[in-house]
Amino acid sequence: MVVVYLGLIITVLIILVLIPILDGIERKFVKARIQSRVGPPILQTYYDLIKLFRKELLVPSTASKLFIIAPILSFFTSVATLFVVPYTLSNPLGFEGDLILFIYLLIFSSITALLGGLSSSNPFTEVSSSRELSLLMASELFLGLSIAVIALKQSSLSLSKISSTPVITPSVILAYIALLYYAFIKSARTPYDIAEAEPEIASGYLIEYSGPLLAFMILGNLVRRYLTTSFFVVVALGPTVSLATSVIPTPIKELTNYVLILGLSTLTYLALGTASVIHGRYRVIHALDSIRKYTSVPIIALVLAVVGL
Amino acid sequence: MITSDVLLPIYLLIIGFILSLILRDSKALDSALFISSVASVTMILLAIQTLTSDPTIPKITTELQILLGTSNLLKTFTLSLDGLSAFFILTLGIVGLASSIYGTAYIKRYLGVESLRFYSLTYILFLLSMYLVLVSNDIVLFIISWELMTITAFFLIAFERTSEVARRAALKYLLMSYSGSGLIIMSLLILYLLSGSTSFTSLKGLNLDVTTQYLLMLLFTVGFGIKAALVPMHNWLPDAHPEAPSNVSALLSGFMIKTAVYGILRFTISLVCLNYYVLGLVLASLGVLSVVYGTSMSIIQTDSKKLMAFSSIGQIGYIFLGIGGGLVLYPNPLGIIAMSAALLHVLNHAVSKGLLFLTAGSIIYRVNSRDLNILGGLARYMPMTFTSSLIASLSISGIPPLGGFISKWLIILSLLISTNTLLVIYASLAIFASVLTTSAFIKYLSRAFLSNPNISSLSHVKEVPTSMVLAQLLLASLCVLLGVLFYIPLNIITSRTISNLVVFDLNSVSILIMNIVNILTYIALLLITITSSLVIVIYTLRYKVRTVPLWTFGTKDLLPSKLGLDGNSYYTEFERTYSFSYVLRHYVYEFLINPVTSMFMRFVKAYDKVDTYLYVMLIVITTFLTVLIALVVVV
Repeated sequence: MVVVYLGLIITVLIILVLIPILDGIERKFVKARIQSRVGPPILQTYYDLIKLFRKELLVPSTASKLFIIAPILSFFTSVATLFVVPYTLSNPLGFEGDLILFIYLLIFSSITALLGGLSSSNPFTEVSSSRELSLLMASELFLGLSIAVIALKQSSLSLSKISSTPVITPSVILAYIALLYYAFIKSARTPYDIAEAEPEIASGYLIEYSGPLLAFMILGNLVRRYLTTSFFVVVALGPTVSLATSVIPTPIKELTNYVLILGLSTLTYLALGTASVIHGRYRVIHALDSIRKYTSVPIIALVLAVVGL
Repeated sequence: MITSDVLLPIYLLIIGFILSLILRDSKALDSALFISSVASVTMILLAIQTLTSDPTIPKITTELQILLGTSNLLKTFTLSLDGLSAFFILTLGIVGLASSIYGTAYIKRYLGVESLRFYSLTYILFLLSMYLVLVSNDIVLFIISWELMTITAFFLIAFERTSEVARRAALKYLLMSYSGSGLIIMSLLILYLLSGSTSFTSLKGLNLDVTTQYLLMLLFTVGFGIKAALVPMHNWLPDAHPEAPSNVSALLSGFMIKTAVYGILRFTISLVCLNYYVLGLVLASLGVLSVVYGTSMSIIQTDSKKLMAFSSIGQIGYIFLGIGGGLVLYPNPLGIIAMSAALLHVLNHAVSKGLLFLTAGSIIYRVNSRDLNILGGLARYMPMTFTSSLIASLSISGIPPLGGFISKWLIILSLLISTNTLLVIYASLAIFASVLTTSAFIKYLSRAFLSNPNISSLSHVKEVPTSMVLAQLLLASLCVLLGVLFYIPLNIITSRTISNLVVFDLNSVSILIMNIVNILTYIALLLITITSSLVIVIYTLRYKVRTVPLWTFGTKDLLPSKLGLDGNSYYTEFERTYSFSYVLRHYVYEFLINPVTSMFMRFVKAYDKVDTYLYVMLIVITTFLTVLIALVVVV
């Protein structure tokens, strides 16, 4: 049992160490390349975080205690969420319905961050939280419908079971596409970063944060971004991976799965990064409008699933 | 030993009633609320004793003799307590206790304005009637206590007699409730005519032909649906619940609307076996309609208590979605889990919504406003109230590891993996609606506690009195406990309450529950997460924290209060983009709800000139006479 827990902790720790580097790769090889810049070094995100952690703790005079608790809680919750995703395609702690737990944990972590921002009483945070929650509501309709398709086709909501049973029908493929788009919306990259739009509302809910607390906020954001991406990879590409590795004996199989999932997550992460660089930021109404339009994809998927495709 | 226990809360409440008759204003209130707290505690103990006792012991029955006015008729009613009533009594006890403790300080704000003695009398009768509804084992006693509950709730809603809004809301509530209870009485009379006895025991195993079954289903669903505020019948709730004094709102939203859940379970499932599949489909469809409608309406409210009232419609929808879905799936163990989760949601919603209404009351107590457009910044002045409303908001939004998460998660999960197409679609809408709930309550937290106020000065505001804080903390800690130790109530509900309703294979359900309990690892992980982050915060606070002024782009012209959003404009973009659902709502209103309401309101307008109270007394007297006549005929 101890070995199982230790293995789980190690898999999560490796991912946690890799996340800032992944951000660095995106900044150097995707953003800078497309914008014809030299770009920062790959470890730049680490340097930023280290610098922030060394800074003084500033708290606005109007803030309540929640201002300090929220960033730390938000970060740790998103780390706890990493334990729900089966990166080796089999989670010893998994159970029926951990997919819904994953969604709610993700919501918990992001609204904690929002509440932290709100507790500073800065009016920009209010605008930001209104935008973020509107986006959340719109994207959750998207997600709910896609999950309905997966539930209908897989008749299970256990992440490890979904990621290891291949079901390939038109409806499920459409649902996977919807999940990819969901990951794009939730990654809070350019077209959908309306909640922290720097030029408009001065980083929104992050406006009053600085120093170590800002570092926690940034880390939490990065972890959440990685979570939604890898959620898509595990649910949509996991079945294929497990099919490919099914002949390999057990201990090596899990390692192979882990490496493959990490690789695919990185690729998806960078692909979403590329898609974001070539977009400008949406206005709030356009962001919501686009999500509403694309909601037809999971709706069509659901209709297909209902008729048995 | 046990027999007398069922009567104990009744005796206590009657003593309280007599005391508040004798004593004057403030003393009447104190004694009444003290005795109702004690009665609530006895209810909790009684319920726990029943729920944890050996299930093989036959259910407790006892007799209550009521002296009726006509011809010295001594009618004996039987009271009984089984797993189903005990669970609801537990919920009533918890909300009643918190609301009574809270009321001792809160209701004093009406001192000299309204009659506190009148409040005490109606409050005690209200508690008593709800208790009697749950324990009565007789059609006549059920009708009497149901009517008493309706009437006392009316007086409590219209407690602020000077307010025109409150009086109208109360009247609307009364008229709609009366039409509902008319249907219930009608169906109970049908049952009486068929069985020939008023006792519930004789109703069990009654053979009904198909037409009667569907007639009863219709009457019960509409009759109890009005009390539960299921969507086409919900119209009274958003008006009535905000107008009552806040601790009464907590009881109304926290418990009274759930007596309808009890009624549905008792009459259509436990006593009379109707067609489970059709009944389930009807309840689940009404439930999901309420879920989507209630939550999407709650996000656009600007009145804090109205926001909560609409959210109550949504949450009662979750409960009916769980029960209905469970009935559709019936022999499947997943259906049993859905029903258990729905009952767990009754408890969770009672605790969290009760607490939310109390916190809204605390704001009214200190700032005398429930307008989210002008409130703000109270977190610094009322930290305990803020903490409890934060916990309640997170719990009702279904955030792990709090109570609301578990019940919502189980309802959604069991419907999603059932592979019943309709239920899967319903569940996916329920996932969406739970985020709407989150948004509604973040708006409440943000506009009432966190953002900048639009009212001039808050410096006089301080934390509410100890008794109010205590009541809030009691419910807040229950929110946490129900989440962390969810398997205890879940096991009890499955093995003691649901087994009273339907026959099922306990083994296969236990296997499912064993799988569900695996979530405890993650709950433990989350608890570790939360504690460790709190430890880090405490560690951080030991270092020097520099306080800086709020950053407003370095200018003095951009006043914070002018820059933020008010309650009106919080989700304007969402509302505009997803206007089709709101447009749909408009049509539902135009063609379905408004005609019915306007019929009622025309009735009200005709009596506008007459003093409302006189008119209501007329209704009250007529009802009692009707019930008495019915009684005489029956006996």
